[in-house]
Amino acid sequence: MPNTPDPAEPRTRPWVWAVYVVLFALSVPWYLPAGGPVRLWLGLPHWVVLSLAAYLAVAVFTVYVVARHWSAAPDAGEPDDPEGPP
Amino acid sequence: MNVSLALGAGVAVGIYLAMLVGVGYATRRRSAGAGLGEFYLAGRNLGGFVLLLTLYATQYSGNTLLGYPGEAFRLGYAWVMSVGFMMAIIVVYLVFAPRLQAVARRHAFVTPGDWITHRFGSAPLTLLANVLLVVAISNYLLAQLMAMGHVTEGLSGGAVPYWVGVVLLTLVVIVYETVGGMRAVAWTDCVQGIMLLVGLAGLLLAVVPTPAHLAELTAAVAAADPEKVAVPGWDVSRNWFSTILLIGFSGAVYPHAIQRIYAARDAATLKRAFSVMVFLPLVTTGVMFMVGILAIGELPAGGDADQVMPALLTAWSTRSALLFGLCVMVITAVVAAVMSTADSVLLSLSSILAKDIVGATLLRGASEERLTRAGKRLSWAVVAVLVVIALSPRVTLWGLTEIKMEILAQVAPLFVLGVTWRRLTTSAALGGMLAGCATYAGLLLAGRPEVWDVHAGIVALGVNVAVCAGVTRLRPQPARLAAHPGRARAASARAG
Repeated sequence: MPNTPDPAEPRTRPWVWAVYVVLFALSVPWYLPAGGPVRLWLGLPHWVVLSLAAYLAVAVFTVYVVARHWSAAPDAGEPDDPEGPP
Repeated sequence: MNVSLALGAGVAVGIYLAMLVGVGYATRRRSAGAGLGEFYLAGRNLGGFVLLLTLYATQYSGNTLLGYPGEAFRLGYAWVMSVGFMMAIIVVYLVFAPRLQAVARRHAFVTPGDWITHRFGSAPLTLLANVLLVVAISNYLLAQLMAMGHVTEGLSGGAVPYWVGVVLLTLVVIVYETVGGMRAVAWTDCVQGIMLLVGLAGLLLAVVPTPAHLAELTAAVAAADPEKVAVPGWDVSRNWFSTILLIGFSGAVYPHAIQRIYAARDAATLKRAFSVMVFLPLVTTGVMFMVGILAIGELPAGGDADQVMPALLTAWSTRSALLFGLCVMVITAVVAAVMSTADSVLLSLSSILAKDIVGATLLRGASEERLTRAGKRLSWAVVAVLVVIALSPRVTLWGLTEIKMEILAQVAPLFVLGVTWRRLTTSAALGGMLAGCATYAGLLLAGRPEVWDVHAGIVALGVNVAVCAGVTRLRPQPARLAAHPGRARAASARAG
């Protein structure tokens, strides 16, 4: 049987999704004491800056994932399609 | 709103509307007598620039510019979640869009239902999914029509009544949409997307968010309403996670967004569009979030959430000539945002009704040209009904958005699991969607739109996915069927 590797797609990389789970978890301030003291960072409550930083990290990481883990071959094949190219 | 601002905005919006109709007519020749792929997907040849701007203009709507500042005004700094849930849509796309785009190209898909039929080969499943999609996006279109009325009434200070805004702007949209199809919609989306970006840049200048200014603002909000600045409690955090999941999964399966994945010229084009799109929440919902926070300091508490933006623009426009100009720009951008979403949703609705509903029943076997003509007539009929409903609004814009999202979430497994999990069976997908819908309806009827601060739609999605997993494991299909149930079933029907 010929060994046809899966075309590169983000969904085939479990670690990519683990990173996304961590970043989105960090974006929600569940880990800070509710109603605790609020410090101002750049004029905003510190937990808002942490959240925005996590979202910026999501965006930058997505650019990396799209560039490095999504093959844009014109016709990468369809493993679940018996009529598709190998 | 003062008279000069209303006049300035009226002139700018008038020029803008004339430009839209002009762009629509410029695309008329290519769309005349077109088939479904040409009319609804612009010949599946959207390039990077147009694809990015049409995705952007479509995804950010009247809800974003009118509803979101209102939510920040009501909820406080926790509305920073709006940046995250808009990013989540792009992240969910990464799960299924690469494969979906390749398959859609090979099999010339036009509607979301084409993928469902291809993957699952079940007419009842495709029909149920289409009913949910039609209900959800009709709701979405209704929200846009209502936003048209709010925009014209609020931004003209009541000089242009709500009903005139609804009827006039809807008429412009339906004209260029039926004349030029997706090509007209995509090119007008480019104009609208640029207007939106320019307007938001203007708003950012108007807001002047220097750290010193922000510190003053935060201190003022904390003094007026400490809850809006404090670290949120577990209840808000649970709701925040729930909203990221809800908007992430349901926003990714908007039929009009799925059709833009089909319409992309190639995978490289889609990659470029997503790489830019993922940053746009920071400069779009992020700006709207700041506008809503500013409103807490400037407007009296307890005001109408949908009128926060018009009230702020009215206040800012009187301060300087520069701010007046920026406010005119923002008003045009607001109109652009509402119309660009309305045209895309209407086109998508028309394609589903024409190809998957009428084309599978009354006009079975009809030519593509005939189905396209039927789709155009259906657009006018749908719009007429929705305009009548929009003229008697009873719920807020955000309220409409949430209902639509929770319905759409029940269709998400057909795309997310359908692409990623080869063993998912047709009966499991159908059972999951039915169980999800029943759970959502049951919770709503029981007066529980949220369970432990988690949206009923997300609880229902959990049930939906659990049923998908359970039924697939209990009643797996034979290997050949599991490899490609839709095609295997069609082959066996032909053999029989």
